[in-house]
Amino acid sequence: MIHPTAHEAKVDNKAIELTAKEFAVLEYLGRNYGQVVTRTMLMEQVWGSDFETFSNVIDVYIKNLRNKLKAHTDINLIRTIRGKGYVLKES
Amino acid sequence: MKQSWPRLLPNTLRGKLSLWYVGTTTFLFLVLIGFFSFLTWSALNTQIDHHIHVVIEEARPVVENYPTSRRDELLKRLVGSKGMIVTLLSPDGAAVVQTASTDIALTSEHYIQQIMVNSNWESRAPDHFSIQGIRFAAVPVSVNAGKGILAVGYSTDVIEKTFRQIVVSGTLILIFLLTPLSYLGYRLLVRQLQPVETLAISLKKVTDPNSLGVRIDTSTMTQELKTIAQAANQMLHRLEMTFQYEQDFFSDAAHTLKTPLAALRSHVESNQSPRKTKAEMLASLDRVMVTVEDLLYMAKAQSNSTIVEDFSLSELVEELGELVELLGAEKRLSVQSTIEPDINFRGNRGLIIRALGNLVQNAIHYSNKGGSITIQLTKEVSGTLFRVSDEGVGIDDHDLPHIYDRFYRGKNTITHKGSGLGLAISKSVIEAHGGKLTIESSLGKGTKVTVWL
Repeated sequence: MIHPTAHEAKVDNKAIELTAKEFAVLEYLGRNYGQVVTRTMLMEQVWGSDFETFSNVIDVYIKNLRNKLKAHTDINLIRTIRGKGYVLKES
Repeated sequence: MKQSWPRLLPNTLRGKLSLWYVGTTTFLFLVLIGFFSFLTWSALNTQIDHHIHVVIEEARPVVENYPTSRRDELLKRLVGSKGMIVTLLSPDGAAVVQTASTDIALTSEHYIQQIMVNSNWESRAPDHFSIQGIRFAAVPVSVNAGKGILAVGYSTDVIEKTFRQIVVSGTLILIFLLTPLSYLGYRLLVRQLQPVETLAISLKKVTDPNSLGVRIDTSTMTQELKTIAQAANQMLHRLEMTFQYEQDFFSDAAHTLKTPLAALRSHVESNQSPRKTKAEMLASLDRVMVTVEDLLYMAKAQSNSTIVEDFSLSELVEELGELVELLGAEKRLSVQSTIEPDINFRGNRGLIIRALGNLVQNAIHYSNKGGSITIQLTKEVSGTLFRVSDEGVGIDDHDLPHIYDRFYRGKNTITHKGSGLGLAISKSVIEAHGGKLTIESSLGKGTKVTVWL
């Protein structure tokens, strides 16, 4: 569950501690649930298009998010689509 | 009417200057001749009048004191010896003595009679007048116990003739002087204006980018022309640099793209051990993509550089610091930031992010695992200082002079992917914002990048 207004994300009703940028990444993935989101799109959302050159920082956020989610669930919620980007999907 | 003007007046500088020069000289000569003529003419007239006056004063006592028989004889002799003519009229207006020729005598007698009627005894100053080239002076005298009149005349013909000769010869001298003067002046002008033509000819030779190497020789030029020629030379230099830059840019870009594409081609051809080849092919493609993106960015940056805004440089550098920390985590880099708050800047924010971003990204790329990066943003007396230091691989002294060259990649960069455009972009953006970028580095010890804004 992602609550954009409350800036809060929960897995099985347990809140996950996220930084603002991590939350923004997760939120954007959630809004495009089931669809592939590119690094550039995420970067524009989280840092703004001027920071596009740093788009590899998205990989770091995804890694951190995965680590934090791993503590709550065994399911790999964020999947990497090689050469394209990431997708948020259950199962 | 307007169309006939260009034909009347020369439209070359040379022609105009010559015309002006000859015109002024002629005018000055004419004024001089006129002035001296007038002076000479009036001096001569005064002199003649004075002369006549002296003679008439001598003749008057002769008329008044001698008996008629003696008087006429003495009078003729006295006046005749001075080359003058004399007329004596009796109170009834008849000529008692007359030495002038008949035609002159007729007109002059008539005139003198009128003077006799109008003059009065008291004024004994002579009346001066000219008739048919003869200057007269007349005074009332007592003739036969009545008021008669005595007139003495002097021919000015000879003087006038001499005077005319002087004027004519003056004019002739003027013409003879003006001809060689005009010619000499024209030649001098041609010589003085030669550099202008040389300048024009030199500039005409510049017809295409390949002839931009032409420079004008300023050694023989006068100061004014030198300024023009130097300005033209500077402009040619800048144009040449720009064209050279463009040419180099295209050839560099082509070469940079060619290498990974050639690698890609050989991988596709060989088709051995698919797994390894695929990774290599992707790496080649990534290099092409990065280069193309950077090229596009440079093109975009050039057209966007005029869009400026005020923004907080402190916040921007803090964000960069955050990014460096995140990206450096993998390499376990420690990041120390010294960022003075509330430093503002006016410029293109996107371009500044890219320029400074390239520098911090380089610091991450070339750092060794576990190294540290220092980011500094402070307000100094001479401006805003931004500095990124790393303890990474450093740059070879051999590579250091070339690091700003587009597409140049030093020996230590082989393990890092990049287009070689990063530093060139940073440098041009910083310089476009009036800043300065310097890099100090020692191989194996690290690199320090300093930006003054």
